[in-house]
Amino acid sequence: MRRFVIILSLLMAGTPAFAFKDAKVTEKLSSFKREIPTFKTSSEKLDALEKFRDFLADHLSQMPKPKTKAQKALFADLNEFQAAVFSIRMDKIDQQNCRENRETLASLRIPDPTQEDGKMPATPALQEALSILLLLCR
Amino acid sequence: MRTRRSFFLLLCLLSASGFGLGRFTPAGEIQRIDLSSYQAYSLKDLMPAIEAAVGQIERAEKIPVVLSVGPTPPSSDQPVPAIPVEAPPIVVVPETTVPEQVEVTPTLPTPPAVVVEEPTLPAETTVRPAPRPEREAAAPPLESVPRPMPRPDRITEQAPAPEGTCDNCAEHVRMSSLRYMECGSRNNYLETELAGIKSGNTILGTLMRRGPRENAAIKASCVKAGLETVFGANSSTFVNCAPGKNTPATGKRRACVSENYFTLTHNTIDLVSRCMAPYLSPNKADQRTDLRLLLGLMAQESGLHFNAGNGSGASGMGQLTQDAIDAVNRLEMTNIRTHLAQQGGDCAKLATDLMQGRPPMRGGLTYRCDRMSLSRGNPALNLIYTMGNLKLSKRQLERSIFDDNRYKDVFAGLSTSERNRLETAIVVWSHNTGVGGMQTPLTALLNSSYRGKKRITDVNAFLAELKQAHRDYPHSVYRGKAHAIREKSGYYSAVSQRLSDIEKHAGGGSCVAL
Repeated sequence: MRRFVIILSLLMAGTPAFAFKDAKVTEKLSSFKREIPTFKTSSEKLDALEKFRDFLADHLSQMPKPKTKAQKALFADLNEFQAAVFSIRMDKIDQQNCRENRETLASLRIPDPTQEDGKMPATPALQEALSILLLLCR
Repeated sequence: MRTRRSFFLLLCLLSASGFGLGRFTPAGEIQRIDLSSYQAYSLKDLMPAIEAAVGQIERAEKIPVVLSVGPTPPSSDQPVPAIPVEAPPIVVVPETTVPEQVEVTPTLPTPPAVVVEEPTLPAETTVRPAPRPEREAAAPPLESVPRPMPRPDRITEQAPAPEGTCDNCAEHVRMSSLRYMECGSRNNYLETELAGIKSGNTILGTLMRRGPRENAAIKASCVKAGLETVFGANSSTFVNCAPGKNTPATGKRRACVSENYFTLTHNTIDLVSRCMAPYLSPNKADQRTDLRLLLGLMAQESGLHFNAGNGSGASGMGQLTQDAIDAVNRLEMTNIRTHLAQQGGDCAKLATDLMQGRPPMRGGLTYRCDRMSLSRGNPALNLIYTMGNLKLSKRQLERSIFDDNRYKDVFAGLSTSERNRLETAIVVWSHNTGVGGMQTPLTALLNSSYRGKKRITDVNAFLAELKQAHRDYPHSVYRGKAHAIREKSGYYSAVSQRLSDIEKHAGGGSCVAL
């Protein structure tokens, strides 16, 4: 199981980040994901996560206020991603924290009673947040 | 004036024929209730006053009532029909003895604590007077409530009539005039099981045997109003789970709101609310806010009927979905069990009687009856899970937004209680949208309209902005789905309106008296 997670993480780390149609976010996300495996300690990883969160919050609050339908859709996507990344909370990286955070992120899927497990599939924004968590917990 | 005179004649005829308005006992005592102060223009306008009078007669059997209209004539001139020769002299009860009971009800903003059933099921919905509430022995006595004259067999149950004013007089009057439905063949499908539970040893049986409670944290009149006004008597969005079954029979009519049904529903909402309130918020003021909004949520979801169901599988009083149940089982169950055990008394009994299964409620649609079946401990179990789900949503919104340092200043302009009101409102809203469906528009609103040093100063204004944000920045799953966006964005308004309607219907004031 552990080996599978490691392989999956490596594959994920090599995958380009989901394109948010926002060059800055896409680029920053890619570099952050490439960076995570290079950190040696938990605190280094968590510091990097915090910096990435700072970037997201600053970037979104400085974007021009969306006016068109397309701008609003992009802004909503970015905020969905921010909310998911902000839902990852760990004071240290251990098995229990990783499991709890995985469950928390999974619970952000939109309820849909017609689906087998009562939830819609994870959206691209949520999948990106899950891939960050996976890298942190590797 | 002419209308009033005509109505007085009608009243006299009705009274003389013994039809509903009063009884003249051999004792011949008379109490005057002056209707001249009522702004009545039709029979409908006077119904609240008549209901109050009838309720008073029911409570105090020895005091017959003469209803009069217009200025009160001197007592010696009072026409009293058919008083036996040996009868004691006419006694006009001074107004001070029962003023509130007579006067409070008509001054309420809306008429009925008594909701007359829809006439669609005439043979099955005849209204009969409620038995007087049996007050729980352990319950503290009402403070300063003007008490009706007790029946001889109930004297020992009555606390001494206190003096001064009371905070809850209106609710006392409404409790005294509660009416229940008589069940018919199409809406009595829960009655046998309810009777079985009442005679059983579980906490639910205990709650039913206690009878309607006057000093409840959630007012009985509000629960009654919710049960009777949200869904019509002919609504068939209800289901029935036979004991031990997992799959419900669908298409059932709204169950009749019998005394057993009402007592179980009200006392369960009351007990679970009391037990779980500290789990939701630490201080009393915040708990009142939480419980009030929670009641609105449940009224909106199910009309407070524990066997409400819909085609998608959401079921029970809180219309729980598999997703919510699974999340509570995974993330909150230990906290809930520990909390209830720590509360002790009936709260601990809730845990020991209802929360022992592994898990107590199963999420899959195959086990849909877990969410509403009486034999599985509902409606208490559904309520506990609904509150557990709200707490879970609150934790998730706190960790991702409310407690994040980057947004700390945005909420800093609100008092503690206002901030709690805002957070609870958003959490209640997310019961419909899902936490993920709430996070997206909320974050977008904060990032677009609350940049820099701008703070939230008005909770209602912010909630209105959030409604618009649901339309402008919906979660990607809802994008392009106009119906879903309309429903999600309007959910909190709908809950607020529902709550407001219920409180108005129940006579005004908050439904929570914690």
